[in-house]
Amino acid sequence: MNKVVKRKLIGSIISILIGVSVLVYVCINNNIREELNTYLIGFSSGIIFVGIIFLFQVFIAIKNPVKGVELENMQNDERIKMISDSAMSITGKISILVEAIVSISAAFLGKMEISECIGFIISIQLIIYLVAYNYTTNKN
Amino acid sequence: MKNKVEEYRKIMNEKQEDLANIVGVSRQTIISIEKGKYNPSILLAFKISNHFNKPIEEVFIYEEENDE
Repeated sequence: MNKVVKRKLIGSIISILIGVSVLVYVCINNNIREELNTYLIGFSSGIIFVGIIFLFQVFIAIKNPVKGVELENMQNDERIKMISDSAMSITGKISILVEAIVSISAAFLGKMEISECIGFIISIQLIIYLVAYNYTTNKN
Repeated sequence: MKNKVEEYRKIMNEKQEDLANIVGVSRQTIISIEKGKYNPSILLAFKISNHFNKPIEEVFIYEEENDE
């Protein structure tokens, strides 16, 4: 079993365990608010689903070693990493732009609470960007 | 940057998938390199040229005018 498959297997087990634990907690505890209850069920179902998909990939990789090598190559592929980083960068830029537009529009419409809340989110994102930028600069 | 990956791969009678598995990338990456759509990192370029037993400058040809 290669490193990538092992990592996937550990990831799938952790996701399924977290999902099942949350689901059991929701089922046992009757004092949870209705909205939180729905949120927790949705969250746990999602995380269990992700775990099952990972487990399915591990099963295929173990059954067929060629697929295992392919999976490892896909994970370590520099072009796929570059595409993923680039897509993430575009997503981040568009998100901040849309948030800024919504924040300014909300301020003009007099919805100051929404405007301030989104403005706060933008500032947090920019602080994270600065930290990540410094971290990456020091690393390279 | 131009490259002769496809040419040398065919000389060695290898499939794109074989080369991809040897240098540890996906087949799509080899396709992109051969088409000239993707310029590999220096590390991957060395891995590919080492596999062909050729100097890197023989496999990957730098062209100043078409620098992308």
